[in-house]
Amino acid sequence: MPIVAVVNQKGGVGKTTVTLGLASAAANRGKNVLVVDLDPQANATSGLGVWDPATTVDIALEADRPGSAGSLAVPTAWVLEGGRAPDVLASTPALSSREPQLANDPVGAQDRLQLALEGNDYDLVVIDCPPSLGLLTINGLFAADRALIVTEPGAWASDGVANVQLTISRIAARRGGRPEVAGVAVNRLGRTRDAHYWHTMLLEQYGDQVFAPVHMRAAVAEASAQSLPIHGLGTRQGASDAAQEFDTLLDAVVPEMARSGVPVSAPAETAAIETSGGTNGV
Amino acid sequence: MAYDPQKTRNRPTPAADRPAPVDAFLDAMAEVTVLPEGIDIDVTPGGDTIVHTADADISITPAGDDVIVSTRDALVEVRAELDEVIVEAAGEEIFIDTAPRAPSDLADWSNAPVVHSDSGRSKMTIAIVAAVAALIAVLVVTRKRR
Ligand SMILES: Nc1ncnc2c1ncn2[C@@H]1O[C@H](COP(=O)(O)OP(=O)(O)O)[C@@H](O)[C@H]1O
Ligand SMILES: [Mg+2]
Repeated sequence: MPIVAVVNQKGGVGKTTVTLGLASAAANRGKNVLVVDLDPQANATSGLGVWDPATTVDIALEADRPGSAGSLAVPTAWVLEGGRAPDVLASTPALSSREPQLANDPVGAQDRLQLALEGNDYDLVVIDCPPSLGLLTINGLFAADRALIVTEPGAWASDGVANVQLTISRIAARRGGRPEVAGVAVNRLGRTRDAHYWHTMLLEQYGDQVFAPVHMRAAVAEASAQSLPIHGLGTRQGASDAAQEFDTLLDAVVPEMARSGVPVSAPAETAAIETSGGTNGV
Repeated sequence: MAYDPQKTRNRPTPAADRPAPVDAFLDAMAEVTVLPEGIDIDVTPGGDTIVHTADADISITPAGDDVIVSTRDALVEVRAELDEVIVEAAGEEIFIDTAPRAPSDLADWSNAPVVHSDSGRSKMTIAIVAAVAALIAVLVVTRKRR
C-alpha cells in the first residue's frame, strides 16, 4: 500500500492543496484512497467536505491500537463521476493538544499512525502533515513509505527543503531507509520573475528530484474552498489544466499507480514550462 | 540570470550532519525501545499484549482490566471488572474476592478456609511470589513496549 506523507515545516506552501490534488487524481481513477489529516487546522478534512466527523485521527493516535484507521476513517462528501469518493481519517482542533501529550510519552509515540494504518488495504494513503517538525509530522513520516516535499518557489524555499530532507534522512537512517524522499513538488508557481528565479534555484539545487510544477490558479483555491475535488470542477477555467498537473504529479510520486500508456513525466521539462502555464484564471 | 534577488549572496548549503530537531525524539526512542534480554512481546489480533519472560507468560487485555500471569507452577488471573483474583497453584484453585467490603464482612472473610494443606501452602507461596514478581516485571516492561 503506497503511503505518501506530504511535508514541509513551513505553512501555506500548499501541503493541503497537493494532498487534495493527489487524492482527487487517484480517486478519479477509481482508486480506493484514504486521506489522513494530521493538521489540527483540519483544512484537508473540510476540503473533503467533512464537518464534525464522528471519529478522528486523534482517536487513532490515542488508541495506539493496530489497524484502527480502517474503522475510524469516515467517507468524504466528494462526488467524482466514474470515480470513487476517498475516505478521510479526519482532523479536529483537539489534535493540537495531542502533540504535547505524545511528547510526554516518547515511548512508542512516534509510530502510532503507522500502527493505526497496519493491515488496512487502500490503493493509496496520502498524509497531510502540519506545518511543523514535531511529533505529528514524525508520526506521518514513520507511517509513510515515501515523502513528498512541497514548496513554493520563493525565498527560503531551498532552506526549507533542506531542513525537511534532513529530518527525513535522520528517520530513514534508523528505519531501514523508510521513508524515501519521493521528490519535491513546486506548488503555486506564478508568472513573476521572482517565482521563476526561485524555481530555477530549486532545479539547480535539487535537480531531477524536482517534479513538474503545479501552477498558481484560482480554480485550485476555489476547489478547496468549495470542498470539491479539482477533477470534479467541470468546465471551470483552469480546472482541467490543474487536474492534469495533479495527474502528472501522481504518476511521478506513485509510479505503481501511473496510467497505462502515459509516460511518467520527466522532471527535466519543468524549466521550460514556465511560459506555457500559470496564466489561467489568476 | 539577470534578475538576482540574492545579489549573488547565496547562502551556503547547510551541512548534512548538523543537528536536526527530530534527533531529540529519535534519541528518546533509541534509549527505551530495547527490551531486557529474555523478554519478548506479542500483540494478538484481538489486541491482547502477551509478555513472555523466562519464568512467566503474562497476557494483558487491551484495556488492561484483565491480567493473567502463568508460570510453570501457578496461574494468577486478575479480573479487575469482576473484582476477583483467581489463583491456581499446587492443584488448587482459590478465588479471592477483591470487592470493597463493609467492615462487618471482614470477620467472615478472614475466617475463610482458603488454604488447605501445609505443603500446598509453601509451594503455593513460592508460586504466587514468582507470579507477582513476574507481574511487576511486566508492568515495568509494558511501559516500554514496542
Ligand atoms: N496552486 C495553487 N493555486 C492557487 N492557490 C493555491 C495553490 N496552492 C495553494 N493555494 C492556496 O494557498 C493557500 C495555502 O495553501 P495550503 O494548501 O493550505 O498550504 P499548507 O497546507 O502548506 O499550509 C490556500 O489558501 C490555498 O488555497
Ligand atoms: Mg495545510
